[in-house]
Amino acid sequence: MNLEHKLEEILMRVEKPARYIGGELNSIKKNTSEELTRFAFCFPDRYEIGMSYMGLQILYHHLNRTDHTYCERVFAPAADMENEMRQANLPLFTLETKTPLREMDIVGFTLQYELSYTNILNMLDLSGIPIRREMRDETSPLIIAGGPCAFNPEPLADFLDVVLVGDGEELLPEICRRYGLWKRSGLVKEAFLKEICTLRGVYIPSFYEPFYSDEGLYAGYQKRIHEAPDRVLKAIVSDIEAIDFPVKNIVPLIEVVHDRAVVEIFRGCTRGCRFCQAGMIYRPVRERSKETIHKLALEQLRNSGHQELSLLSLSTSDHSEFEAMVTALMEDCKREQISLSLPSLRLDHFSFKVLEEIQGVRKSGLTFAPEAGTQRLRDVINKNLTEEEILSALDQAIDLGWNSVKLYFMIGLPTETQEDLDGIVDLARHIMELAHKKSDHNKGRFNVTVSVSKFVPKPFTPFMWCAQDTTEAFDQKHFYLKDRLKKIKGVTYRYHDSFTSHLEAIMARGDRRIGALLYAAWEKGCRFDAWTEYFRSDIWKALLEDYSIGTNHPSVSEIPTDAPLPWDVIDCGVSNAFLRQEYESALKGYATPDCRYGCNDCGINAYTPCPWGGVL
Amino acid sequence: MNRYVFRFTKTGSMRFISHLDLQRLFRRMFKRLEVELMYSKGYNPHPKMNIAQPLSLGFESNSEYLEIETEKSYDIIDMIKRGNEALTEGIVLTAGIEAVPSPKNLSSIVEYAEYAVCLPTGGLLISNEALDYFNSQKSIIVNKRDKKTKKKVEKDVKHLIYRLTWTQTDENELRIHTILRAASNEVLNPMLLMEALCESVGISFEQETCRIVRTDLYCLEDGILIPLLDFCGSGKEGLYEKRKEK
Repeated sequence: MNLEHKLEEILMRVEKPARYIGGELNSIKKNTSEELTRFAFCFPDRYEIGMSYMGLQILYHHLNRTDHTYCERVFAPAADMENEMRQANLPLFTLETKTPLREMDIVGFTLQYELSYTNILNMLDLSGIPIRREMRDETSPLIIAGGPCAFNPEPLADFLDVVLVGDGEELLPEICRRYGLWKRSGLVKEAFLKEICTLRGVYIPSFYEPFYSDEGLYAGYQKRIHEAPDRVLKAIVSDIEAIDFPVKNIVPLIEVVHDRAVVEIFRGCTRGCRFCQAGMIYRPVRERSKETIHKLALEQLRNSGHQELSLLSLSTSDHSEFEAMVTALMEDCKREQISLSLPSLRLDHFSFKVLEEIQGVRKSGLTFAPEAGTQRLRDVINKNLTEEEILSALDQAIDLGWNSVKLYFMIGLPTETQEDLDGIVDLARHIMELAHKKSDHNKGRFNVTVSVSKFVPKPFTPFMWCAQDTTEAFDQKHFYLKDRLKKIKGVTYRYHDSFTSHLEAIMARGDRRIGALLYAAWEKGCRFDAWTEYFRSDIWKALLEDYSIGTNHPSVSEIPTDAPLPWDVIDCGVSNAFLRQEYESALKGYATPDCRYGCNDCGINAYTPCPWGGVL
Repeated sequence: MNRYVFRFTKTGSMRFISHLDLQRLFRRMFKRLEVELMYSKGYNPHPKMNIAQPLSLGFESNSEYLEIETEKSYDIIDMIKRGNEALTEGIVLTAGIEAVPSPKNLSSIVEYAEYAVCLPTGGLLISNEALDYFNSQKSIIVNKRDKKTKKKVEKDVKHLIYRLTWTQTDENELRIHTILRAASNEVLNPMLLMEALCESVGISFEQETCRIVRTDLYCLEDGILIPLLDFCGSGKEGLYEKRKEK
C-alpha cells in the first residue's frame, strides 16, 4: 500500500485529521523536479500552534517565490497520530506533496521554545532519519535550524548540521540556492558546509569543538576547520521596508490558535528590559512605514477572507507613526467589519480611545505587565512602568466600563526580596480598592487576575549570568503569594509549574553536553514537554539525577561574568561589554532609559545602521 | 432581501474537515468575494448562511447545499465562478440558483439523504439471498451510541430506510446504494446501517475502510423525493408537476 492510501485509513481514526492533509487556500503546489531544492519547514509542535506562527508564513513565502526551491510544511503529529504512524510504518511526510522527510534535501526546524526540543528528535526519528549527526551519511537530508533559540544552539549541536542565526529572509533562500548548485556538483557534504560557513549567520556545529575544565565546566571552543569564522555574527536584514512581506498567507482549514491576518510593523525593541531576550537579539529596531503596513494589511485580508487583523511587534505603541497608522486602519476595519487586535499596547490616552473604538460594548480584559512588585525591582529589570501609570490607566479603564484586568509578574528575578513579593500583593490590593471606590460604575464586579511566571535567565541578556531560583524556592514564593492573594476578594491567582521553568533554563543556557540528556529523555518517551498533559516530570527528574544536573549546575546557578559561555561562538550584535554594564547597573538599581532618549551604545550599530539613538 | 442556494462538493481529503471548518471556509469565501451577508439581530449577530445538513467527518459528497441571504443582489454565475477560485481543491460550487425567500431554511426541509457506499468484503462474494434477507427483515437493528450516556443502545431503524440496493462487481467490494431518513429530528447514519449489514451477511466491518459518498439531499412532497436544488428554484411548482406526471 502506498503512503497516501495508508494515510487515508489512518486519518479515519485520529483526532482532527485535517491537521495532516494540507490543501489549504494559498498553500503552494509546485511541480517537483530534480532541479528544485526540496525544503521541509518543520515546526516542532502541533499544526494549530505552528500555523499561528508568522515566521512560518514569512519564510514559506521567501522560499517559494524563488524558482530554485520548493518549501513544504511539517508539524509534530499528536500522540494518537504518532502511534498510528509507527504501527503502519508510515514515515513523517510533508503536507503539500506527502513526500517522506528523508527524501527531502533540507529539513529545517524552527526553534521557538526550549521545551519543543524533544519533538525535534522525535520528528527525525519518525522520518527514519538518524537523530545524531554522526550517524547520518551523505544520503541523509541536511538538518538545519533557526529561530530565537538558535542563539544558543549548543544543546542541539549533536543533532544539527547547520544553524542559522538571525533574520532568515535573505539567508535561508541563499542557503537553498547554493544547495541546488552543490547538489549538481557531486562534491561531498563537507564541501558544501565549508562553502556556506563564511556566510553571515551560518554556524556549523561540527566545525567547532567545545572543551571543558578539570572541574567539568565549559571552558571555550576550538575551531576544527580553518575557514570557519571565529565567531558567528547573526544575519541582519537592514531594511525590512524594502523586503517582501507575505500577502497570500496560507489559510488553515481548521481552527488554529490565531486565525487572522498579521502584519509585522517593526522588528526589535528600544526599551531594553534586562530579562528580555527578544529585546536584545532582534536589535536594531527596523520599521515598516504606515503606508506599507496599511497596504499589506488590506492585501492580506483580501487574499484570505480573514475577519481579524493583528499587528505584530514587541511593543505596538512604539511605532513612530503609531497613531496615524492605527487611526487609518481602524477606519477600514470598521467599514469591512474586521476586528483589529493590538497586542502589547501602552495604555495612554490614545490607546484608550482606540480600544474604545475597536472593542465597543464587549470589552476584553486589559493586560499589564509590571513584571515586578516594587519600583526598586522594576528599576533593576529596567521595566519602565510605574505604579502611578498603572493606577491612572485603570482609573480611566474603570470609567470606560472595563471590569477585569490581568497583571503579569515574574518571580525569582535577580535581587528579589520578600518586599518585592509583598509589592505584588499590594498592587493587586490597590487596584481592587480603586475599583471599589468607583463601585457605582460597575457594582463591585471587578476582577483582577495575577499571573505569575518564573524568571529564566536567557543568553544575550544582561541577566545571562544570573542564577535561577531552585524549584523549592519558587514553590515557597508561590505559596507565600497564594496565601496573601486569596484573601483579597476579586483576585484570581495563576501560577505555572516550577519544574518546567527549571528545564527551560537548563536548555536555554546549556552547553553541548545537554544533548545527551535530551536524547535520553526522548528515548524514554518525552514529547510535547510544553504541554502539561504530556509533560513527564518523573522521567525528567530521574534523568537530571542521572546526569548530575543539580542546583549547582552552571545552567541554573550564577556564572562569573568573566567565565566563558557556551554561546560565545555566536555574536548577536549587542556587545558583551554593554550586557555586562547593564548587569552592573541592574545590581545597583539604576534604570537605563529607552534608546530613543539617547544611544546607550549597545554595539549593534557597528554592524548595521541604527537611527534610533536620541530621536525622542 | 435576496436568497441564494448553492450546491457544492466535498471530496478527497476535504472529507476530513468538520462542519464548523466548512462554515468558516464559506464565510471567508464570501468575504473575499465581497458578498455582504445579512446578519441576524441581537447581542451576538450571526451571518445568514446555512449548510443544509452536516456531513459526518470522513464522508465525501458530491451534492451538499449552502444558502445565504443578502441585502444587495448578486450575479449567481459570477459568485460561483469567483467562489471556485477562492476555494480549495475538493470543495467546488457546482450549481446555484436565486431562490425564493422562505421562512424555512434548507435544514428544516431536508427529509432524505442518498448515499453510495463502497464496502470491502475481504474476498467474499455475498449472496443475493443474504442481502435480501437483511433487507426484508421486519426490523433492522443497529447499535447506536446514546449521546448522553455514551452507552450503545439497540434501535430499530427499518422505518428510516427508504431504499437499499446493491451490486457486487468483484469479490473485494460491495457497492451499496441507499436513501435514508435525514430530517432534522430523525436521521440515520449510513455507517450504523453498514455495520448492521456486515454483521448480518457475515463480513467484518471496519469504519476506516468503508467509503461513503453522499450523492444528494431530498425533500418530500406528496410522497415524491425532490432534490433540494430543484425544490428551491423559483419554478418549483413546474418541476413538481413534471415529476408527478412521470
